[in-house]
Amino acid sequence: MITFLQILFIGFLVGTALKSFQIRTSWAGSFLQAIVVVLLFLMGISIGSNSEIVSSLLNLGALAFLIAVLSILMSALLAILLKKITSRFL
Amino acid sequence: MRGTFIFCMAFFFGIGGALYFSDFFVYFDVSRFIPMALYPMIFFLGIDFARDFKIAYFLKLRNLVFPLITIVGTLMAGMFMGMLWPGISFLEGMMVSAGFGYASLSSLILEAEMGAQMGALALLSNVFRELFTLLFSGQMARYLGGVAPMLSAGSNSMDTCLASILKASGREWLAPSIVHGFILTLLVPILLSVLIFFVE
Repeated sequence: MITFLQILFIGFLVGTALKSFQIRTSWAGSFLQAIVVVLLFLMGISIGSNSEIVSSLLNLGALAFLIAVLSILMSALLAILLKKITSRFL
Repeated sequence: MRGTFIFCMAFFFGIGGALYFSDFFVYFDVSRFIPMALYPMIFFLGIDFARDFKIAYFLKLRNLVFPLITIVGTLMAGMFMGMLWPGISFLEGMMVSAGFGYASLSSLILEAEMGAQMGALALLSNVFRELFTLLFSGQMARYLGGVAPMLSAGSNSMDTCLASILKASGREWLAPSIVHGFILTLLVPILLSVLIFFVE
């Protein structure tokens, strides 16, 4: 898994170099989106052909919903708490 | 938002196609193509990072506190749900929440490393997070304080959710939002690598 970080860093260096030579890199974002669309389509296929996951999709959706809502609320409450303790940063 | 809509459509078309042509895809496992394409994807993500990087934004200490709040709050929520919900461990709950709203990247990494169920969970959870931010940032700013929409957006606070954050909280949140989104987006692959390392 450490290779992820190496590749990310190499990409960042290449991007910085291209930027310093005034070469436009805005195409990288659109290219990224195209790759992601294809990959998510493949991911949908692999999930749809797994009958165990299809039958528990509602259950997974409920858990996903709860994690999302709780993440938002806990971050916001933490910010409020921190503001109560110290008003320097927020 | 248009991007996220297209991502979701691609995902659900995939599910629909697999259900419709179920005889074919039982013998032909497409999920083995995903890890191959992850590396070019992360490379282009790095190039994309370099485009937005402005060093001056990162020199203000105040801007660096907000990502920390989001990280702690989000990971705590994931851990909490992972312990409560039957069937997933607290580490898996943390992995799902560690997408910080970046649905495409986190779901694809988790699909490749942890299996299809975790991928589906991460995609749904992070899309919900982005959707709530876009829909309810006004209410969040009113009831939870001006910082709340940015924390809620997670890694989307520098691109898709930026407009609604600024509309809900005010223009002065521009620099904090960009730093917040940048740091969290960068942290998604890093944190996921660390958490997957702990599981294995």
